[in-house]
Amino acid sequence: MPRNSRKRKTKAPDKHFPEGILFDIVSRLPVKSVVRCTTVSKSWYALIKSRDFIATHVKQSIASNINDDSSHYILDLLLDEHGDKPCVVLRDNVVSFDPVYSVDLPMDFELRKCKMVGSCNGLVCLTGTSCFADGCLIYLWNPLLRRIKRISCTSSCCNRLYRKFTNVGFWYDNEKNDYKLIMIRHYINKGLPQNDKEQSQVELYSLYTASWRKIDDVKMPGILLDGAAVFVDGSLNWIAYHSLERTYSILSFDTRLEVFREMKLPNYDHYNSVIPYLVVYKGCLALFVAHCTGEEDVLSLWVMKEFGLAESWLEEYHVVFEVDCIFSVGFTKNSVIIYATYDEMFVYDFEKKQSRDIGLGFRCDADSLVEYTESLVLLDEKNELQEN
Amino acid sequence: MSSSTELTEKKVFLLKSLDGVIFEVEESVAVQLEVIRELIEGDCARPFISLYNVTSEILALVIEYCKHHAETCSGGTSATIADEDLKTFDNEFMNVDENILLELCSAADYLDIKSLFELTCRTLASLIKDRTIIEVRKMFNVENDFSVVEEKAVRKEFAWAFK
Repeated sequence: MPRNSRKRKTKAPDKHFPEGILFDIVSRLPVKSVVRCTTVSKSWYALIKSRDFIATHVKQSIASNINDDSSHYILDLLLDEHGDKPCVVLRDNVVSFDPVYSVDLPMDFELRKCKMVGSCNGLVCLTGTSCFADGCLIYLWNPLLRRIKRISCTSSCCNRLYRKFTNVGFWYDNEKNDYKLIMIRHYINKGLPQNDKEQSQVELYSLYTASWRKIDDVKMPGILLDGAAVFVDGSLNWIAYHSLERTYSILSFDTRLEVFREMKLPNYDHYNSVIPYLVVYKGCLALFVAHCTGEEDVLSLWVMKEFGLAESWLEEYHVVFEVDCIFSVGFTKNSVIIYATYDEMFVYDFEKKQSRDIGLGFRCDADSLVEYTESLVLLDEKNELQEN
Repeated sequence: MSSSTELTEKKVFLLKSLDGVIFEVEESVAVQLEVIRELIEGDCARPFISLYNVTSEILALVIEYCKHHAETCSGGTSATIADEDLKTFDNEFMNVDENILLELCSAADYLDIKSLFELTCRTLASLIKDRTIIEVRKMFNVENDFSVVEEKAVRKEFAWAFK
């Protein structure tokens, strides 16, 4: 048929459009448009706020985001240092790193001690440092929707034990469409013999069931976990420091089998003079190290080509910089690393071999910058903290 | 004998639209409609199939779409060229009045043509994206059943989205 004939105007459908199909169309809209659509009618409001719709929207976003950069941001946590309102700034994660918009943090948060543990599919996990005291503060926050959920911790540790570290990991379980947390507490019980005095307690949290459960029989070597976990291939991975031997390894938690295992880091000569960072590079677990020789900085990116196989470590990039010491701050999906010298922040594109000042104030660690994509998660929840 | 082998090679189906128009389609095109493929696989497909929910205007478009996709996929061209060709065709195919789009979407759902359903859903979503709420209501023929106070409350709940 001639194409023009399809151009003619037809009248609007006189019957109501089937809700099942509406569900499919609206679930392909970006977050802001979906939220605006809650005002169309009561049935649209109920549809959009349903758990089923929110879950479908998350899946749709994951499917379409793979090739679409439009909703990728870097979250930049700015705490109350100059009397300004504490906020996160969402920055464009593709080209410019320019601020797109900012969202104030809810007021009664323990701001100065706040850390971003990680971000998956629209939710950001925040902890307060009082996590290390008896009480524990964990929040799951959807900054775009201004929804925050306080996660209460069931058990607090016994006072007689010396607490070595607490570490929280955060991930999205795409089989069960659930957001999960792991909390690892490591204790030293001085009353026990040398071999038994280190004890660990591991608990898992599910947002769907809103509850914690313990994992039994966890034997953890004498290690120290620092920094945020990196999620690759269904496993959370931390850099583990063995304080007795003064060596590093990777502690990996398989979220499906719920077991820990240790993995070797690549053979590298300067572990005693660098801070190793785990990052995700093109879907693979990777190690970023910056070695300072005094005159230059040598930046290396090692990639574990086959997850879990220590033999597959490969030094993918080896770059020499003539600048001061470099801290890694973050790694974006476009294989761009964000790094800091002592006073400025830069991005370095490994593929284009280009470095660029992004005009950000100095950040010393990865806790203040995370990658973020929009989602509707927590839309069906009440806000648990008052906004400013 | 030769005519019977020709018949099995070129099996055709007659599809009847809601308004009684009959379309003749080859099996390679008909199987793109999941509802018909299931009938064929279950050995329940009769040569004459009535489609009660689709008008002839929409069915003609659906067949045009399936025909192009069937031909492109079975042709000798490489996968990347075929992909490009389908993309161009799909873009052009979606360049229709939005009420036709709505009907196409609903037909793709009824006839269970996954790629066309995805395509129409995505196109409709991109149309809605920047529209005002009044325009969205008009498009889907939805009546605003909120009272003034209720609507204000919902807008307040999501004030940031209306900035």
